[in-house]
Amino acid sequence: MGLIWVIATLVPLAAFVVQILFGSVLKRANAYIATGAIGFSFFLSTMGMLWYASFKPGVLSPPGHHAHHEEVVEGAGAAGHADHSHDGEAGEATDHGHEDAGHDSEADHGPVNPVAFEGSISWATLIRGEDTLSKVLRENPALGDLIGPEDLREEGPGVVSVGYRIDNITALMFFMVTLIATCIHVYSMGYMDHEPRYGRFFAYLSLFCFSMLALVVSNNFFQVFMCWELVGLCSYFLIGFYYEKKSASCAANKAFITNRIGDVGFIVGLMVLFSTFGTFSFSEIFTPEGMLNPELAAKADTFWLTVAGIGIFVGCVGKSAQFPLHVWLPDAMEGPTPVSALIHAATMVAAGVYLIARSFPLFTPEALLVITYIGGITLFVAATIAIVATDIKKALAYSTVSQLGYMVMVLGIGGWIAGLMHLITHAFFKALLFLCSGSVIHGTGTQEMPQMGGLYKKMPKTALTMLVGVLCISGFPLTSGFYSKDAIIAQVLAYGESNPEHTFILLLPGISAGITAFYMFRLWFMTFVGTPRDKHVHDHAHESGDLMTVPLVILACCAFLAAGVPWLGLPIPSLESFIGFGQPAAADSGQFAGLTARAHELHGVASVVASGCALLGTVLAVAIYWKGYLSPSEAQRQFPRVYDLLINKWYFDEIYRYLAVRPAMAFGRMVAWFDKNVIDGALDGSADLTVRGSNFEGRFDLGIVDGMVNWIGSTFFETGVSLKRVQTGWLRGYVVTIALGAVALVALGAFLYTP
Amino acid sequence: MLTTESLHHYWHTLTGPGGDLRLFMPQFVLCLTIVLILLLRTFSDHINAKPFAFIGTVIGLLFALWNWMSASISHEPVNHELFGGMLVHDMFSIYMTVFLLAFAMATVVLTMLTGMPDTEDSADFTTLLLGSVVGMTLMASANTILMIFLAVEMASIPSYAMAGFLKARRASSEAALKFVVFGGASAGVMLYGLSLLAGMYGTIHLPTLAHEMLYQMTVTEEAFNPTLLLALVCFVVGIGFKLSAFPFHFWCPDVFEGAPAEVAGFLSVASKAAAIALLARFSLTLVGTYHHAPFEPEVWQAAIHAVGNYLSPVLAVMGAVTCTFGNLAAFGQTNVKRLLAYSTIAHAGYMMLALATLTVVGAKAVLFYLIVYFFMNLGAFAVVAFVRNVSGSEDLDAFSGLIHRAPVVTVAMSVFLLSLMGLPPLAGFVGKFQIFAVLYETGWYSLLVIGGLNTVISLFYYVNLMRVMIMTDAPDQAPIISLPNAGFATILAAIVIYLGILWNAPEQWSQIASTSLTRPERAVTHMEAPAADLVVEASPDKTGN
Repeated sequence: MGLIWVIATLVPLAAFVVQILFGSVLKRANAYIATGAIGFSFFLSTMGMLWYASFKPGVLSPPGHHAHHEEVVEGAGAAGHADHSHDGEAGEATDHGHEDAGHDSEADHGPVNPVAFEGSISWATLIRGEDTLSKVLRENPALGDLIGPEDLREEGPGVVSVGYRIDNITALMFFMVTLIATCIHVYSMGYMDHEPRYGRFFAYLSLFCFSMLALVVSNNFFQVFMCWELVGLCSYFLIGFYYEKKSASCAANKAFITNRIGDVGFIVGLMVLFSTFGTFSFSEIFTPEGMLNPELAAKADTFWLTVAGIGIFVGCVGKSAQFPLHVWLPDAMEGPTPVSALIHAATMVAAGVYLIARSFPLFTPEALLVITYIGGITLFVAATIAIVATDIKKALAYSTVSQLGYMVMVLGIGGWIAGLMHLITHAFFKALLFLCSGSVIHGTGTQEMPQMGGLYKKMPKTALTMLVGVLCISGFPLTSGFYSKDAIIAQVLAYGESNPEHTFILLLPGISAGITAFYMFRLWFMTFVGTPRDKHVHDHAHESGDLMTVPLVILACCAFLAAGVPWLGLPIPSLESFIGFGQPAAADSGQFAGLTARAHELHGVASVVASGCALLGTVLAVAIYWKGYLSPSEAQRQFPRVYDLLINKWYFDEIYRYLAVRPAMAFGRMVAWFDKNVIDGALDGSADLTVRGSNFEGRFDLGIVDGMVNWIGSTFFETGVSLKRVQTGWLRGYVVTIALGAVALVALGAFLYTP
Repeated sequence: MLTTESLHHYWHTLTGPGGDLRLFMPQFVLCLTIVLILLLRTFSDHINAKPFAFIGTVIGLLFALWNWMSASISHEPVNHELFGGMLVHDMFSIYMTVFLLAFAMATVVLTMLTGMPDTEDSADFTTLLLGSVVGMTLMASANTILMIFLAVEMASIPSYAMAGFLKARRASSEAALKFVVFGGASAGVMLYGLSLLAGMYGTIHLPTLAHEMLYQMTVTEEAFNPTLLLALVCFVVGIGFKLSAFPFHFWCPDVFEGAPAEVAGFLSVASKAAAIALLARFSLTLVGTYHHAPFEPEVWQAAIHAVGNYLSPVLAVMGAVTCTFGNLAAFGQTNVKRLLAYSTIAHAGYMMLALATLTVVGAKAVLFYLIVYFFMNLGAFAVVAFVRNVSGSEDLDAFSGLIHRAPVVTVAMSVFLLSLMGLPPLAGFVGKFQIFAVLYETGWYSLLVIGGLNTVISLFYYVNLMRVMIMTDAPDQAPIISLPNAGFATILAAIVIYLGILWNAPEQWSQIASTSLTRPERAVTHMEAPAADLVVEASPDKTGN
């Protein structure tokens, strides 16, 4: 069964290879190959997802019950016994792919992740396990010297593998990524139509899809890291897609460098992890229930565990654009809009959140507190900046940063389900919003909202679908955003009850929910209603073609319904219970014990709080940007300092320029000088020396050795040999060299012999 | 008295399941091929023998692979003595047989591609080539010191003729003559050493000899045995000649310059691989005999340690000097084959460094390195041959501006050179990494530093060749390298890249092969049989005592 996902992952890679090798021949056909490939992946992942969704529905008990796991065990047992038609599938469920790397997820260990396929091929062996050598040694301890150093024989896993691990979270992420990616591929065929590098764009997209999917299915941290870098690379390519524009190439560099800073932390975390645990594999680090493997945990001390956790989180900070490394994401909007939607809103930036969720049991309480605060600061700071943004894509970008902050923060306070739920719903509605903004840009030719206005009549489909997105992100009841935001607020409330000392940071999600509704409606009103502010733009505006609007409609449906399916009475588990099914035990024990249940009780309060905040923001936006009761410029004049702070994005870029960029440049100039004047000199000198040395050696070889040989040859054999003296003398000289060499070696051996 | 029954029995032990001859099939097939080619030769002078040689090597290779497979799945460690103890059939010898046959096959393919030698001489050439390969496989599976000598000679003598194969070229003939004299002299020295060993310990059976050596060393408690040192060094001289280790390397640049590039490639890989395998087996058998230890393990281990002290420093110094010398001398070369000759000298040095640790992990690193070396060195020499075919020259100048004429081959050559240099993510890096890791783990930090410095030095001349290929202008005449040739180079380059990324499988093979060096249970021990009887009367017990 796991093979479905493996194939689905590899198809885009194959598409990429074909496109890049035959790109010059295929030209525009690239688009069809790329779209077909991702569409096929989507089809496969849908099959897998359906299989998951139909898998013993009784088992998918709602989360929140403290006795959650036991229930699952019973449910699994009952379902297995009652319905024999499922036996075949249950048998498959224990199929671990090609190799035996998987853990038995059925009855033996208590099936929290009821179905986890795992398979891998080993890629590199870093620490030897019990192998032939160790066996020989065990049988014959006297062989210690012969076999080699102790370290190479250390027992334990140390195999870095390439593999997959499919559980319901993976299946869900996979489904989400392929669905959105398929929509965006189709959309791009319309949006990128007039681009000269049309083919290359799709090749990059295919590579990105492969990397992202491989990241999602990874069964170990090392593969995650490799794919992490690959998606980063694709992001770099695609941000700088219009590389003729200086701003685009600068933005690409900024994104790349900022991400590398995060990756340094990631690498440090991984190294600490590996040196503590000796493995990268999820199934070895975590127990099937979702706790840190007690055997390994016993080996680690809390400090290093915290370092590893924070290191990994720093990687997430870079990739998911969290404070203080969030500065790259708004600039990344220089890339084509479909890219912004796919990579910089729905999938890649969410990878950081996904990784936090994946490695959740690893985080110590200290690390989780850091995560909470970083997320909290991010969600507020980014939301405030979005209020004053005038570029439609940048406003969405700050909104993305803010929403990612929500996910990170709620993961930090144990809201595993809420975080992942928001990840999925956000992916849908943010992809939708970006594609709508792309449609607007495509239709008007500008990104500046002050030049828009009154576009509703011109592009109704875009406007309506975008309104769905706006409602979702603002958290209006019955939309998907409502459920996820409600889950977040409920978790925050529950956490706040037991941890009142963090009240300050816990206020931020509520406040920001209001801000979110405000800036999103501001965006929609400024774009679609009111009087046209730029006549030229308005006159030329037109609705986009079907290739672009159909994906919008599909995504709008998905965004609206993503979390609310049970309301339709379908026999599919709701998003919340589906995710809750995979919740690691760590998110509901220790400091978080009972929190999930408490959050469940607080849903009612939470939904009132969330909707109230959202309503407040909406009313304000209606008053200012639709009805015009209040003037935004008036507000600017009244709070000039606040406005300056926001319009300058809290001065992050300036701070970094003075703290990091300028010193780095100065240091760079210094190093360059040093390189030019000192190192080059030394290098030239040493190169010169080497050449001289080898010349000398050459002379030595030819002159002295050969000369000596000749001399010996001529002196030793002069008397005995008179015939063909030159040639045979030469040859015999060589023979003498051998003899002399042997003698020298004997002398050497005797000299170096140590009893 | 021979009866029909005893003959039948004897025949059965040879050809029955697991019989000696069955296990010997790879070499046997090569011998049959040689006979076939010689027979065909009598019918016509113009017969092209290369396809026959190719088919022969492929069949031999399949047999060798079959041996590997059946040995891998067997529950008992595979450790047979063949032909009355003359040869040993274990994972190590199978590994080397597969390696050498694969290389022979690749060389035959290369000669088919380059058309060197032409059809008329192909019968002679392939006969020599295959004969030499048989000798090399025997080197890798020799179990008595007599067999060691015979195998070394069997591998050497055809290669003398191959070195002089370009009869019309004076340099070629001179080089061949030099080779012969040098080889003869070193063989003499080696024979002297081996006879000393046999005389001292009264046996030619290698595991028994090792056992005797340790036994006597323990019993007599002598501090230093100069005769033993002399014997071991004489053996090392013989191997040093095959490996072209300093100071027995003089023949190598001349022969490589004089011989066709195909032969040079063959000598640089196959011949050295066989020699290093022989050295590994010999040295690790000497320090690895532990079975039936008649003493306390500590005492026994002290003796093992003492034997190691004779060999290890000699190998370490020789390896260090060899790789340093090879790399430095490669600098000023204007002939690409000469340059590569010094490069192969340096690589032999690296391999000796790993063997100097006298550990199984060292042997493992060497075995892995051989696989890597197979592809990158064959590739480099193949490109030299291709360029010679189109430009008629093997000088550095012939490579100038190659990128404009043959971009694919240039890229492939760059891959080989970078891999020889040891740059990640190419196979050469992994190979060097394993050797250096062993040096680090075993505490040979001085050798590690020397190896590291050498890698840096080697960068200059490899990069210089790349610079000539890529950054200089092309001469006017622009012959193009044919598609099959470019394909051959591309495949090798792809393998070099592949092995640089996915090296786990060959690493495991080399580990399995090297581990079998720790199993010399075959020693007929002091208590069980008088040492004097071991030599002539072959032990009927093939499965080990």
